[in-house]
Amino acid sequence: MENSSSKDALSFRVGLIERAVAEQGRRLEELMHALSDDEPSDRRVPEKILVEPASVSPFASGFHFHEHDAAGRAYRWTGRGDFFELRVPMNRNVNWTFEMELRGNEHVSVDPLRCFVDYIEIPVSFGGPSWLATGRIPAKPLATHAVLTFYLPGHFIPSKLDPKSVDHRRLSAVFYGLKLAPAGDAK
Amino acid sequence: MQNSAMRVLQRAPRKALILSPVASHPQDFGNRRRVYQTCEFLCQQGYEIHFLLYPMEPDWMARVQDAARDMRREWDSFQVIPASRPFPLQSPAIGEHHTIDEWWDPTIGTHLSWLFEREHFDLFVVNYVFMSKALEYAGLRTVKVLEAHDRFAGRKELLLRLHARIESFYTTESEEKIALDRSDIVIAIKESEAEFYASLTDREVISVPFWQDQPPRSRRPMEGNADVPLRAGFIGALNVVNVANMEAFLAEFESRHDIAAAPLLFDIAGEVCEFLDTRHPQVRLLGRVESLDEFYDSLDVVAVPMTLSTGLKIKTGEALAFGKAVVAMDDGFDGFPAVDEFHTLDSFAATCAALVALASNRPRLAKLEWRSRISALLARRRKEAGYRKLAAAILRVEPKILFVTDLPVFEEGNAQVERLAQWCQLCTGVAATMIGYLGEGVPTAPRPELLEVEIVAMGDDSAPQDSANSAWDKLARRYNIIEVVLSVDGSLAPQLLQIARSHCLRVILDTWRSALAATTLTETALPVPDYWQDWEQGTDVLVSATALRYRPRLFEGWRAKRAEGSLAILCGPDSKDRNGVEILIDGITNIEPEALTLAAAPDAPFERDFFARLLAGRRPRLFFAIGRNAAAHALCEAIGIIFRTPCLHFSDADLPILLQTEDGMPVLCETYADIARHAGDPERLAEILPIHRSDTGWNIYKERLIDRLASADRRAAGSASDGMGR
Repeated sequence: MENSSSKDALSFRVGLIERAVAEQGRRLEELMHALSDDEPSDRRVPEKILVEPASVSPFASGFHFHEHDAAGRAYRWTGRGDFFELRVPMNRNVNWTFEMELRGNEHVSVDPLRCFVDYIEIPVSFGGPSWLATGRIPAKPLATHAVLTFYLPGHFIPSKLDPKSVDHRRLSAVFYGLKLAPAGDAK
Repeated sequence: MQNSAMRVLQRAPRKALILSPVASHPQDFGNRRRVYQTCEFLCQQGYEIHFLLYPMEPDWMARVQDAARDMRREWDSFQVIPASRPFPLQSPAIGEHHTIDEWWDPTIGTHLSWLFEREHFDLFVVNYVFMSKALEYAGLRTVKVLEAHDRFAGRKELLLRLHARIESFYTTESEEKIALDRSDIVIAIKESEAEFYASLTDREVISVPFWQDQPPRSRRPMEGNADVPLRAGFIGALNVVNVANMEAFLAEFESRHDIAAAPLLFDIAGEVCEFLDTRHPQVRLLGRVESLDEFYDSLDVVAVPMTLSTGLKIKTGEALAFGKAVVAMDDGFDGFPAVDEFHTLDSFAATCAALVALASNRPRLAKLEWRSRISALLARRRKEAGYRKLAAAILRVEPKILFVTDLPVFEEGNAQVERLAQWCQLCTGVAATMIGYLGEGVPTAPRPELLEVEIVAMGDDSAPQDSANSAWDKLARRYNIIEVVLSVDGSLAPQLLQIARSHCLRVILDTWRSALAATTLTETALPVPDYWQDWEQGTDVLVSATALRYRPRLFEGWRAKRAEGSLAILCGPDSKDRNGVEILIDGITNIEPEALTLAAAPDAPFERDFFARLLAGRRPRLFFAIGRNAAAHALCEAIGIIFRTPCLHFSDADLPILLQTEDGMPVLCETYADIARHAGDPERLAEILPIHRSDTGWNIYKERLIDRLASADRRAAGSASDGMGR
């Protein structure tokens, strides 16, 4: 297994601080834009949104193409970089929770997983028999999508572990799907 | 209703697979004629005929017949499936009756599995119920027709009543029902058997009586001359029913004094003679005759003294077609319109009495002959009506997907329609698909993706909604439309959606079209999927698909170009994006971006000549798809997927985006200047941007389409011929 270096931590944190500052200005712009839009602000909220691995547009970076396991379930390997990112169109007038099925393996542990919503870190809990990472997406009135970024520094390359393997990809954990549901509490 | 509302712009070829244990050539037996006639009818309907013979006739079991040449010449393909079962193939029942698949040969199944996996057939016609298992091998898209020929339930009991040898296939009603239920449409050879089948199955049963025209005959020289004996006759193949009936008839004939006294001769022709024996001076056993024409020409009247039989008496139809007077018993004339009391006699005695009467009453003979010709005319009409019903039933049963669009989907090289053409082609793999076109122009040549698609014009510029409504009515009456894909825009879109929903339960909206995307927003709480909306299933699943499932044909030469530089494609940019593109062009020096417009503004349609301009330029190592038009982003990303070229798509509204610095560190790009600084390395971008298979999303679409098709009640749709879903 090749572990990503930890030297990125400082620059990454600096980047996040820069991001937090920039976010204030951008948010103001976003609100103004939304207020001037024709889209009704009182749109209904669905009971849940499922993001399937065999889809296209929510996958913004860090994913390999979708495959199917022995049971026929679609999945995607992460590992194209230490980050993987999903951009999900959704009604941000309410709080949401998410459950992401992400399976580690003998080479990559999912315990160090960190999550960012709109590039701001949020707490993420992990565990249980179903390999579910869960977290909360805070409401962001009038916004129309959420950017979910996950940081998982760890990967392996099958062909380096097994000379017989012809798989030269950089692989990390396995993504089986993302389920989003309104949190059912106050904004 | 406007007659001009629906014009066929492009026809789709149709293919029929015929499986028969009986050859279609030469037409020397009734069942061969019937097989031939149905194939001939389907040919006239525009079907290619692919004939599979599983030989069960003695001559074909012995060797390949010369007629194979004729069958190869006549049909689009002809193949023989050799038997793997031990002879005799027509084996007696192991139990009291044959189970429906007792004569089934697994080798037929192997052949059909192979064939159906490799070739699509719109129609599969299986001859005889004991071959019906074959219908299970056809896919959902294929209309399955069972040509029954004969009723086999109750056949054993019938033969016992005739004291005849138990032979051929005999089964029970419950077993025959299994066969009928495997089909979509059952063809009965006569009305009484159609009623019987209808009592067993809820499948559509159509009576198509056999009828074959014969050339007009010259009048017999002795006709009308009362001084010469009346010449009556019968012709029949060798089977137990013919033998048993003729034995009974001859017993009556030979015992009657009035026959002996009448000026009457009775000729029996055909292989039935092999099992008959008579020394009566007025009866001749001719055996097999070389010329049917000469045999019928030699007769004044044809007798069909049959009781307790199955199927249609081809011999009766033949006699009527030759213009002969016919004397028949109820059963012998069953299936033909009787217009004379001599057509429906109730006993062998009555048949003999009728012949005696005719022998001495030539005006009565002339009257019978005239009435038999009326019967012939009616029989011909019944056959034609039966086949017309069959053709309509096939269209009704065949599940169809209707694409309704105002885009010229038949135009090759038009970026706006490429995805729609590939989408439509995907559907043709699952169900017959047709396009209802509402725009201007007509296809000049079929594009390869749409070879199997029928295109009809639904529009009329003077009253587009009226004409679309009228055309839709016609389509709905004629076809079993199980799904509509609507890809239209503008003010007409909501009305067309309303019409679509009034005609069909499943309407899929193309959310690339802004009017339909807006409608979707009002009807679902889900975020609008990028490309299509499935209203009934997966309402909580966000699914998006690639914009192109595979490389369009006109891109074939592009791959050969050396990849160089980068290309910024304008995908509905706003003013900030336009400025941003300038920054990218100035800021990225190592892969000098060029700019090309796909969509000039967020809601603008694609530039029609985008592909041509793209192909005229260099093939880039990196695409930037810039702007707010998600469909345009998707098209650029799809081209990137096909050519394994990274495509970074964003708009000013999407910023910041996450990229990597040169040394692999993550960096958030807040501005176009940031992107220009960090996105200039295609290799580095290729390492992080997600990759997709070219059919991603479409595989889900196809799976769901197959599920929907499987669950569609085709029979219900078939019976609701006067307006589905309403």
